[in-house]
Amino acid sequence: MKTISIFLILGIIITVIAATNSGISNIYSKYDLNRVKDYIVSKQDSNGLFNGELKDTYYGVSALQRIQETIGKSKELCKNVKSQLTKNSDIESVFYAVSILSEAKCGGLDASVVDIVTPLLKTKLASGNLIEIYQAVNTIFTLQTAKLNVAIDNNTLEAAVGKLVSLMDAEEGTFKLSDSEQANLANTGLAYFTLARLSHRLKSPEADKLIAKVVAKVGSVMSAGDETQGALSFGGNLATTSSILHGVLSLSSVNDQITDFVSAEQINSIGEYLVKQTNIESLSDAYYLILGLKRCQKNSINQPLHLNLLQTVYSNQLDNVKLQVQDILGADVPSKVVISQAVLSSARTSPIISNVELTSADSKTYSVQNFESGKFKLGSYVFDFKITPVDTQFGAITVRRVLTVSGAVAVKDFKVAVADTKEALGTATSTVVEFGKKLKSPINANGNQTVKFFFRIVSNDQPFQVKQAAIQLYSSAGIETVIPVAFSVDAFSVTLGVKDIAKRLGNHAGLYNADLIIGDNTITPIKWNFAELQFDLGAVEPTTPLTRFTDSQPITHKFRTPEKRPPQTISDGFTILVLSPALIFLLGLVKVGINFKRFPTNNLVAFVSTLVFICCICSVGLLIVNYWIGSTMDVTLKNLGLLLIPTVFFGHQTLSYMNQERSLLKEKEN
Amino acid sequence: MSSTTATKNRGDNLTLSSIISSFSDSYSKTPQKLKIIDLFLIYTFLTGVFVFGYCCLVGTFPFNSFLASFISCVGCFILTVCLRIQINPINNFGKTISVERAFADYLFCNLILHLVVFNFLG
Repeated sequence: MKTISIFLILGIIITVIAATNSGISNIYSKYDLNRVKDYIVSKQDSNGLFNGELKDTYYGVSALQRIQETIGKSKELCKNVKSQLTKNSDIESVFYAVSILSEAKCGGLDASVVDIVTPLLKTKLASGNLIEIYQAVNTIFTLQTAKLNVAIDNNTLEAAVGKLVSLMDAEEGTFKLSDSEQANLANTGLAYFTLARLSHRLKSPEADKLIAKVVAKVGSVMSAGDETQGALSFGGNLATTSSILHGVLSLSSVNDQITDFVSAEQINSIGEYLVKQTNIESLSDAYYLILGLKRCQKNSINQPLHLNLLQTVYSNQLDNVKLQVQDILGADVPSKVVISQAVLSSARTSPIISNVELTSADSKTYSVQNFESGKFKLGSYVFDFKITPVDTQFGAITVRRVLTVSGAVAVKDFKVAVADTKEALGTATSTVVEFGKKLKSPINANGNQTVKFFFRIVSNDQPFQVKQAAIQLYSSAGIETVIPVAFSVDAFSVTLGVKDIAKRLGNHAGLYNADLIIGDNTITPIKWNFAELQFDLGAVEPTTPLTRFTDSQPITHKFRTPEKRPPQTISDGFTILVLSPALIFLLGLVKVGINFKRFPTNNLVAFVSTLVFICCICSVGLLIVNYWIGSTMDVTLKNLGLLLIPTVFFGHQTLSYMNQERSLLKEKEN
Repeated sequence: MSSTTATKNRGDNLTLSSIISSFSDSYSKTPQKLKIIDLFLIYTFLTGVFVFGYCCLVGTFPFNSFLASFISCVGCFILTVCLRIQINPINNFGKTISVERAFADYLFCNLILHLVVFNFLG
């Protein structure tokens, strides 16, 4: 029973620690936000529309509006959107057009627009699917914000609330697009936002009762998210995640119960997901990213905070701790910052400082007054910060950060002792080696003796415990071993029988170089060749030495066996045989007679053209030979393309001339 | 009796030497440029035969080179036959296709053929 209680208490403690809000790991930087802005602006066409579509224009305009950026080509934009509004009569186009005109402050919304769209809005509120109701409700509120009177009574809006709630899956709390379809998370955010707007407007107990049913299922929806590495997302995409965040936070403004189902940590985790979305590929993504970031920055449940340490690695001494507390978009958040405790990472039980408050003159950069820098020598320190925002609406967060003080260390009191027994080492004379130097003569040891290495590592004359210390022995024949050295009290030492060392070296006697290797994340690594050791192992048979590297089999290559070639004489014979028809051809030409009668000799232009044409044809032949000998296909095709231009031109000239000549000859003969 | 004599005379005329002499008489009336084309046809034909003979008797290595030369011979032969048909006055192509046009076509087709051929060159 007692054991169960202990486990129960431990479980609760672990859960509490795991659920502690530790803020977000980073902010969405101004650089990234500018990239998103540039992406949106790049999608605007000369007619003011984004990607030539109303939908993308809505995303682009709304996103820019939310980050207080001016919308370019606003005249063309307003003109085109107004014309689209009069042309299109579907609810989607009307919603986007009205929203754009409102966001871009075009001022084209008047009673005539209301007259056109009111019947459509009524129809969609009564019989539309979830998205159509969302679009209709938002269009109504946008028109009303523009101080226009939309003749839709509260009963119609209440009926729309009922219709929306009826689309909720009773078990999972997610919403269907229509009665016949499956519920999903993508619709849920839109439904939440629409219900929140309707509740805010109607202020009706019946509607609130229906919305309370939805709120009761918010916990179930929130648990459907995927949390990986502290980042919570829904449906694996930005639009759904941001839409659910927007919807939940909108609902929280009309129903206080929502805080029972949505925790500050969940908002924090969604913020963590959003700051990682630096690669935007569509205007829709850009819109939902900015919507999500803005909702994280300002809401009633939690404001994700980031602790920005101005310096995490210090040289030689930790002068002071300087940090900033920022919201998700990098704005400073006035807070009370306390160092709960700071411990050495290798000895976490004893805090070096605790409950030290950081102050700030400008509510931007916090630091400790009268910081006891002397307490922080070389090493890594784990700091626990508690940040309590001045705005009491939000709870405190606890952040853990590691600060490192780096610097140089020195080796002191380095001694090597060799004795016949372990006990005799205490009385044996040690060889002292000064740090950075090497012993002139080798240290001799036989197989029956024992060797002891002893040294201290100091930083500013204080003992310092490094994470890695070892002695490396290696011979010119490539035999080597590394002997770890242990830390005790304030010094490092290792005692080993020469037999044990010899076993590591495969009983290979001889001269070995000895290096001291020291490593730690806070220091510059040291590799110091301090001496040579001469091992005399007697008549021990050498074996294969222990090695860090496994033996690799020699690489063998298999080449394709070349095909059998015919004897040289046969090849030569066939070469002559293949060339012999050329001889027949030439002899035949002599017999038949070569006709040069029609070669144009009396017309200079035709003569030159014919000559160039023949040269070009010969060049094409030579080009092919050149390719065969050693050129590449790419180069050959390029040259061929160039060569074809004069070939075609002069060929045309030559053949035209010859054709004319032949026609004249025929006429004369007739 | 008279029909038997006529058959006998026809048989006398169809001796090898009479066929050759008749062919020689007819061929001597062939235009000179056609004769040159015929010479070229013989040249490509023989080259193709020798290349194919090498492939059958000695070996196909290097096979791509064999393909290149054989395709070149066969392709050239076919294109030259086409040229010969087009410029032969008996075929009466002269009204629609001039000799120069036929020659230009021939050159163009040869270029395309050899673009294919030199892909196989070793």
